[in-house]
Amino acid sequence: MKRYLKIMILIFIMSIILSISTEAKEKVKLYLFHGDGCPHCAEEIKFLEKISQKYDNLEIVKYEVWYDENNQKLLEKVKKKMNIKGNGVPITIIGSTSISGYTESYNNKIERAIHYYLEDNHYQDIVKKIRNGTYKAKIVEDSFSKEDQKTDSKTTIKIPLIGKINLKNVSVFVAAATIGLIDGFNPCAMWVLLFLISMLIGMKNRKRMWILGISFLTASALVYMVIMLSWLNIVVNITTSILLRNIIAVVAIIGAFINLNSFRKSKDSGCEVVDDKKRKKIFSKIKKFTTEKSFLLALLGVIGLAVSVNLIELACSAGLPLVFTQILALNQIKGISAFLYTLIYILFFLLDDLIIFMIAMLTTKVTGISTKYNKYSHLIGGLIMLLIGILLILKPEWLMFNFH
Amino acid sequence: MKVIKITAIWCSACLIMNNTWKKVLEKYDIETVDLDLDMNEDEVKKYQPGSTLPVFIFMDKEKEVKRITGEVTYQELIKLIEELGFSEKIS
Repeated sequence: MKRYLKIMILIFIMSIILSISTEAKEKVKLYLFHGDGCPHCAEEIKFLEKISQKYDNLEIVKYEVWYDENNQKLLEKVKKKMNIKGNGVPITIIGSTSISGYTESYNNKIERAIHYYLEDNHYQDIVKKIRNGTYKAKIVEDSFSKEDQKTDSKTTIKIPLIGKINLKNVSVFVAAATIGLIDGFNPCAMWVLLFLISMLIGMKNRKRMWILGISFLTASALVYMVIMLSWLNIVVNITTSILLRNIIAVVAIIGAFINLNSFRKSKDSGCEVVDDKKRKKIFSKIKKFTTEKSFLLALLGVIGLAVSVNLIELACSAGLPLVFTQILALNQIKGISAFLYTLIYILFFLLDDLIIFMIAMLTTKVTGISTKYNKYSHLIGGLIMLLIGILLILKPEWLMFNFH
Repeated sequence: MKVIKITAIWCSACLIMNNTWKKVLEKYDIETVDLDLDMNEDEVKKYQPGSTLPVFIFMDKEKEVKRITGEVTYQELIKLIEELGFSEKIS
C-alpha cells in the first residue's frame, strides 16, 4: 500500500513538473491588429515575417480589422482592457505590452519585447483570454511593460507652471512654426496683399474694409489648409510609401536648389517686378471688387482672388508645405492633431501678412517689411529643404522625433 | 537736378524707401517726380525701370546721372546725394 502511495505521489509530482514545463514551452504569440491597405501595417507585416524565422517559439497572429467586424470587436475589447488609446492601426500586442502604430524605429522595441517574453516566464496570452472571455482581472504589469512605460516617460519633460510636455509634440510644433514662418516670408505672396490693402484703405466704408481684408486672409488660410490636409490624406494612405517618400525627398532637394539659386542670384534687395499681364489682371480684379456696390459680389470677388492667388503661390513656395505634410505622415499624425498642426503652420505662415494688415487697418497707412531679409528666407528655406530631403532618404527615423 | 522716383503700391521695398526719401527731403531740397509703375505706365516706360523696384534716377537736364535700384539705407542715400553735389537746406 505504502509503495502504491509512493508511486501515486511520484506520478503526481511528475505530472506537475511536466505541466509546468509544457506551460513554459507554450508558444509566445505576437498579435498584430492591422488594416488591409494600411501602409504602416504592410511595413510591419514585412518586418514581422522577416524576424519570425529567427524565433522557433514565436507565433505571429494577425487580425484584419478594417473589413472584419468580429476582429474589430475583439480589438475594441483588447483596447478597453489594456487601456490603449487612439484609433489607428497597426496595434501590436505581446504579453502585457502593447505598441500602437509602426515605423522602422519601432523595430528595436518589438524585438526587445519578443526576447523578453521568450526568456521570461511571466508571459501571458492576454488576447486569447480576452477572446475566450476568461480574462476578468485587471492587466498585471510585468517588468518589461513597466520598463517600457519608463522609457516612454523619458519623452516627456516637466516644465514649471506649464506641466508635462511631450518632446515629440514640441518637435512637431517647432517644425510647424519654423517651416510655416519661412514659407510666409516668401516674397511672392506679399505683393497681392499689399495691392489689396492699398485699395482697401481708399474705401470709405471701414466695416466693409475689415470684412473684405479678413475674408481674403481666411480664404487664403482655407485654401492652404484644404490642400495640405488632402495631400496628407494621400501620403498617409498610399501603400507604396517608401517610393512616395523618396519622390518627395527628390522634390524637396530640387526645391532646395531653386531656393539656394534665388539666394545666389538676388544681389539687390528690392521688389521684383511681377509679370505685366499677371499684375494687370489682379489689379483690375481688386479694383472691381473694391468699387463693387453689392457687398456679396465684393465678398465673392475677394474670396475668388484669394483662391486663385494661393493656388499659384503654392507652386512658388517650392515644396515647403509638401515637406511639412511628409513630416506629419512620418509621425503618423492624423485627424484632429493633423488639423491642429496644419493650423499652427498656417498661422505662422500668415503671421507677417496679419501684422501688416492689422497695422494698415488701424493706422490707415501701409507698412512694408524690409526686403533686405527676403534673400535670407531663400537661404534658410533652401537649407531646411535640403536637410529634410536628405534625411527622408537616408535617415527618415530622425524626422519621427522619437527620443528613445 | 531732379530725381525720378519709380515705385508701386504693392512693393514693400518701395514703402520703406518712400519713408527714407521723406527723411532725405527734410534735409535736402530735391525736386522729385513721383511715378507709379501701374498708374503712370506710359511715363514710366520712358525710363526703362528694369525688374527691381524702387528705382531712383538722378537727372541733370534730361540726362541720367545716377540710378539706384532696390532698398538702400538712409546713410547710403545721403552719401550719394552729397557726392552728386546737393547741399543741405539752410534752416
